[in-house]
Amino acid sequence: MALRSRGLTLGQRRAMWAYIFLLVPLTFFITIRFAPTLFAMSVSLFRWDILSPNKPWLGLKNYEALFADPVFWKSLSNTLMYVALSVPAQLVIGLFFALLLQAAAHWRGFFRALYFVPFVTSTVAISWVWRWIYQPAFGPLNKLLALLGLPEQRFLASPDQALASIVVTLVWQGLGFYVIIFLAGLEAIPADFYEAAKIDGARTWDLFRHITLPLLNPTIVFLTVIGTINGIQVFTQVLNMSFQGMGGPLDSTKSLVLFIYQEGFKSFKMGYAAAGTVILFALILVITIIQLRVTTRRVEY
Amino acid sequence: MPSQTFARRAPLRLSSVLIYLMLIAGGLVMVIPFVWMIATSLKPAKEVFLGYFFPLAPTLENYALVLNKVPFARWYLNSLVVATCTTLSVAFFDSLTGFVLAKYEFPGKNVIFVFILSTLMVPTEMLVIPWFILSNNLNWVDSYWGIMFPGVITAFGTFLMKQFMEGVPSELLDAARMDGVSEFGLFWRIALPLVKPALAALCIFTFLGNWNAFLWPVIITEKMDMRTVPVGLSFFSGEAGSSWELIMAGASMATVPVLIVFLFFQRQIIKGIALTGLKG
Amino acid sequence: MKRVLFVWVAALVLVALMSACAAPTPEPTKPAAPAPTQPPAAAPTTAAAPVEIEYWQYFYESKAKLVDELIVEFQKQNPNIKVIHTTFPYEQYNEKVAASVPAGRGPDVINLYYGWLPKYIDSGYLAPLPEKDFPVAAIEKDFVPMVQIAKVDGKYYALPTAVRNLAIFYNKDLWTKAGLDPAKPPKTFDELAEAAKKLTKVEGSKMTVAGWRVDLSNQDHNLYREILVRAYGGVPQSEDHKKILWNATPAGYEAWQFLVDLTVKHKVSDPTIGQDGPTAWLAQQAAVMVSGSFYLGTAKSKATFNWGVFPMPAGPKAQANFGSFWTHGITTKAAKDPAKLAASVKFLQFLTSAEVMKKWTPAIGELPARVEVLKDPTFANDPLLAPFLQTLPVSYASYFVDETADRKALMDAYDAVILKNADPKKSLDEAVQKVQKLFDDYWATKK
Repeated sequence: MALRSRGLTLGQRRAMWAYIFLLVPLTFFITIRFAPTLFAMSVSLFRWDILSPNKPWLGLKNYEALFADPVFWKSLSNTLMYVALSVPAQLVIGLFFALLLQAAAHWRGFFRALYFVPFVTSTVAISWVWRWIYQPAFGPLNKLLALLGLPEQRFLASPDQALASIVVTLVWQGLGFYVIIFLAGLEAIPADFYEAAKIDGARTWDLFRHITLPLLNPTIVFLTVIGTINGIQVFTQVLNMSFQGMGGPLDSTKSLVLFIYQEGFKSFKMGYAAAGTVILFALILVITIIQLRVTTRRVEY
Repeated sequence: MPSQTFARRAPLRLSSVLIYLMLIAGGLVMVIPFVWMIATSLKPAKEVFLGYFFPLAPTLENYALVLNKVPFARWYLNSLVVATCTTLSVAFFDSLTGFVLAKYEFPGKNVIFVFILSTLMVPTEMLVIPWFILSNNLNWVDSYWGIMFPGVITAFGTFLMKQFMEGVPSELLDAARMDGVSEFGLFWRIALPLVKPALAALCIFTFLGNWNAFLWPVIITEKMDMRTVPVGLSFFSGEAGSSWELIMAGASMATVPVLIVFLFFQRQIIKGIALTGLKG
Repeated sequence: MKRVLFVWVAALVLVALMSACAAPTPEPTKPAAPAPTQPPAAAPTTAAAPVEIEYWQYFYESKAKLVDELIVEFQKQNPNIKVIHTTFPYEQYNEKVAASVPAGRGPDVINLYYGWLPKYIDSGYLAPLPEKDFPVAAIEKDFVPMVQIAKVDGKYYALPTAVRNLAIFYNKDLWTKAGLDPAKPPKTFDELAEAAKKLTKVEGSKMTVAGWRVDLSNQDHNLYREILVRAYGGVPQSEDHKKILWNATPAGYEAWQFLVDLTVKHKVSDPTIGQDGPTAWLAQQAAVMVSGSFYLGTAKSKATFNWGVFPMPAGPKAQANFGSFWTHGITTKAAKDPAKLAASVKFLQFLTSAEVMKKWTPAIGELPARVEVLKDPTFANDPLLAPFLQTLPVSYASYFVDETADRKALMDAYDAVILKNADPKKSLDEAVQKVQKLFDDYWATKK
């Protein structure tokens, strides 16, 4: 497919190709994601109980009610806690195990599969087992604490400990994802760099600091941003693990998406839920943009 | 943490033993719920609440029940078709989009990138209703395409591929251009093979995500025969609790394709020195 | 290699697209076990083509199976009507209906939890049952009183096949071990609390068996609202369903105190026991559980110990029970089409007929909604059904505006007391405030 190069500079020609390639994906995103999102968000300006065709205009009343709702604020603060606790933990522990897996010379496939197993385990099985682990009366964790002479805890039944308990499960569950992406990132680092550095007399810690970490930057950026975006939207695990499945006890584990889901689909207050979604979206957008600015570094080859 | 990244023929030092010990300890923790899942699938109904980890009188009757009482095989097929097609589509489109975002300069690039990324910021639960209205109008209810369409191109994959495409040396692409390679060929023949590990990871997670998808398939399918495995398994839960032994049997059977996909693709991830491409 | 791969990808995407347009037409719904009889060779094509109506139900294996059989029978009696039976998972039933409404899609006859009726009726989703086919006077005479909660503005919008109420499931083995006689269960709540004290086992500082594991997320919120409040002499709501009266009289506070004392004073319950009430009961970590006749099937298949059911105890002032039911309504969508309306009416009459009820109860375990069928001795003599039947005449259904939020208000109030040492009276007042606001908002939007 030759293109007339008259009148178009090299850069312009390449830009045109970029647009051509982007045609299908952008059309898809606009029609399947953007338009429905606008619809979903516009609902926040009405009172809509899903079932009725009547959707009286409310303007910003839903938002007023939202900001006056203590459960909304609790859900918001819970969500920020989830992210602040789980994402760094997953980054560090994930990188740690990825490095271990790289270093293992034998049975690598086997170990990789082991760390992937939580993904093929039914979420129901996961929540069941973790709830059993946390069970105050007969669970192994309390038994272990007793053995070590520490006082037994109430974990999921306590409004003060439930969130942290769920964070542990979250980290456990998401670890495989971080490990695998880190592995891919580590694999992309050419061995020559390490060889050259070693010849120059670099020690292992220097190798890590000056080669591995910087070259992993795109991977780290990806995982941080995606991890945060997903973390802010935590839902299934809270639903499965929280006391009585409702974000309890006393809303101590309720995440923003769980709040939105319950208001929309269980209490049928779709307009109200949509207002929550708009706030959620704005929050994620701002955080993501900040993260992208702060963490991305151009990599020199 | 010292990086013994490429010490493939390391002699067995103490630190190696330590490495394996830590891997095994970590691995055990990863595996417990999986073992429980299989163990419960082998328990007769009355044993489920007895509180033992392993079955006292293991039986295969749950598997037989699941296969006979409900159209499990059909659900399996549906899940396979949907997950496979979606993964293929994602692998192609997301890499292409990521490539363009990484390696081309054009006005509006950053805006487009953030726009695409922003589609991840709304929980799908809220999009379910507009999607359903759309599907109903276009007659997509109870069809494979209806189940698949929200996921055939993803921002997640685009972002991932963009990050890894940035690692493809631009000089390589320029050199290829001068050799007369087409723009598409740059993507297909040069860049894509260089990001195999990321592509493999993307395929694994896309397949997995689609295999386990629940809310949208529940809404879009009404006929029993068009349902996917996770939706089907939810039928064993009801107002009076759930039949865990049956759910676990179904879930155990459902792990097989994902494990296969993983084992196949994870080789790609470790395919080793990928960037020896700079020949001449 | 690349070319081959590309072609392969394109082909697969094409296949997917094609399979979209030609959505495979599977056999008409045959969920669960293979139906015992094949539907008779469709409609003996004599007169007009059969009218098709769609019936939606939440999936419950025995219900789905029975309804399939009933549909076969119905279609035999009415050869010009075809019923398409679709079921959805219980947890997502509401979501499914919610999504289909804006899409203009949905069933002609729908099975709903009675607690959702106010919302569904208000939004115009359900059509009132035609007076000539379902005379109001006949309904009020023939059906159990709790059905009347479905009457709005003097019209009925839905009718059930069966109803349920609550009773106490108990573990006879634990009962004997504690020195109690399983053949002589408690008749009042105070007696039950006393028994629970004997049944509770504590090892050191840990409770290993709860006498009565209170679980407000399950049925115990209904226990408070309809049963305990009345048992102590109060009423939960005003007649017009506009005011919440839990704390209007000392009765409500006393009832609440009773429930709270179980955990705080008598120490027969602890939220750390089991994941929830039913799980704890099945695992023999709780001796007693409040649940409905819908649980009989699960208990039969999962309990590994000797168990039984005894009737809801009485309180100091009255005996009451909580009733609930899944009910069938006709949608406004169907009502717009005279042929479909007629077919739906026939189907509804069939579903709520005495013959169907007689089949329903033994298969499903729910109680018949017609008074005459209730009197049938086969049911009265069934040791597992009798405890439920006994209190059916005093079973009340609660008027819910938002069942989830209503339940949560009580759950949170209880948790506040047992987890944060809140004052029981204050926590009940807060719960009333929350629920009253729900009702106020609801009534304000009604013209």
